[in-house]
Amino acid sequence: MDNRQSSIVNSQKMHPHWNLLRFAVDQILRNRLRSMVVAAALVAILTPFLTAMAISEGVRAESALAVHEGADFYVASDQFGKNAPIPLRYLEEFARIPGVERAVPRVVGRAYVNERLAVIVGLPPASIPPGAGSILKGRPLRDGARNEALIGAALARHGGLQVGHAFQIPIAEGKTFEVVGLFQPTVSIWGADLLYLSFADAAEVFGMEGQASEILLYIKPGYEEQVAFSLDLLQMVERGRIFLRTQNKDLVRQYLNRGFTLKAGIFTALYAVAFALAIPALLVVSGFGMSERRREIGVLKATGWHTEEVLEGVFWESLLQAAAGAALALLLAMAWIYAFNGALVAQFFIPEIGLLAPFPVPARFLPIPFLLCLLFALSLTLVGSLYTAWRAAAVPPVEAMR
Amino acid sequence: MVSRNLFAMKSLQPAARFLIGWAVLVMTATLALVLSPAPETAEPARVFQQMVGGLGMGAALPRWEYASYDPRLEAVCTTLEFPIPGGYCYSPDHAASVFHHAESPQSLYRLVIVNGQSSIVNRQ
Repeated sequence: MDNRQSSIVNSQKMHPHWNLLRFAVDQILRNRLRSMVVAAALVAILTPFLTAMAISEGVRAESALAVHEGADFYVASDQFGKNAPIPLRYLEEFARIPGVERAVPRVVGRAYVNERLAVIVGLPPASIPPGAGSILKGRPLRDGARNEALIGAALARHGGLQVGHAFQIPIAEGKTFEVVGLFQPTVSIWGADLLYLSFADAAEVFGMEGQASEILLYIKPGYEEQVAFSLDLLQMVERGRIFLRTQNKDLVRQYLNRGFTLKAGIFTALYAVAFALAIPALLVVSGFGMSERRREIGVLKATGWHTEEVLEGVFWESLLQAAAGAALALLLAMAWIYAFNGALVAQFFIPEIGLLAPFPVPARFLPIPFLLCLLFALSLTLVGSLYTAWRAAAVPPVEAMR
Repeated sequence: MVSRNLFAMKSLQPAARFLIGWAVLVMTATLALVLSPAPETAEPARVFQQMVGGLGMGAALPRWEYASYDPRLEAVCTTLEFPIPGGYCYSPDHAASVFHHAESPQSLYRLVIVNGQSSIVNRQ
């Protein structure tokens, strides 16, 4: 045996899998229509899943930020098992609790503004952070000034409002507000329909002067337990007059984790059922051109291929198709969200935002959903091809080639 | 006919080379995208949340109820009481959403923090 022959034999010994991979590529190219139909079916199944999981993760990240940057304690009253306004006289009592840095009253309510439902939020202008100017077109509210408003991008667009415009809120007859700033559309999904007023104005709009929707407590690090205990003592003293509903960051974070994990888990489970239903469809699709494949397998067996080599070749083919399908689905999902802002799909996951979201739809593409997709796609393609290939490889070549 | 001695075959066809190159490119791009670290939360979103005192936790604008918007504001979905008290929850705010915040207990319960872990216990 000369050197060249020896080299070929060694290569064959060393690279049997590479040979089978090349065979798989050859098969994909030879059966282009079948490969394209399988990839298209995978993309159609996987793209909505990846889009939904990305939106879920995006909203979760924004929610986590809302918890992290929010107050340490939220205290409202409780009436008939629901949140109710809390009298402002508690503001001073809360501020006196050791460990409380500041207590801030907040109004949150709903009202129609220019025939669009808006979330009205009122806080004392003194609590506006110094960097607020960077997220506004215009300026923040001035401390002590009345009848000034900051408006969300969607609300402003709907009413044709710009900085300097004046408007009225139907429930606050006679009061005219001036738009002094517009929130940038990118700040948050919850800023789109927001109307930000001073605390005094917001309380007046709802006719609830002397009360707040809740009191926000910002506390010094390490005082959580003490503040919770003090609030509980206060509740005991006030028994019969008020029920306090107290929530802290840790508790709210638990709602967040529980809510997202539960629902995203249910969504994944439902989608797994959809995947399972797609298996028969893919069986049909993968069986497309089966008689030709059966003949090919017969030829391979007749030329000395073993059944396991045939199956490995089919496995590589399925893996390539699954990887291509999952990768294409991911790129398509990204294009759908980043280029088209999730048009026609975002409203399935963020209710009532209309055909086109008035804000950038939050999304995060993480490795786990993609790997899940890859696994699902591989399962689907293998189910569709491996068994039929094995059936064809197990019969005598003459029968398979017939 | 497909030969078993594939490795000894001369170089790949141009179409196969293109397919392999394309697949490698797409997979590399995909892996780079999914394995890249999550982007830092944008500063505007941070400032906004500081400004409103922390607002919004669910994927809903509060068209019907606040529970899907921010469970800090409303512990329960009020559509359980309206239009049919004790009836089906009609709110479209959490229909088809992939997120939902379970009802959180309130008045008859109190917040207790033990070793930094918060929980709600029965007041009685």
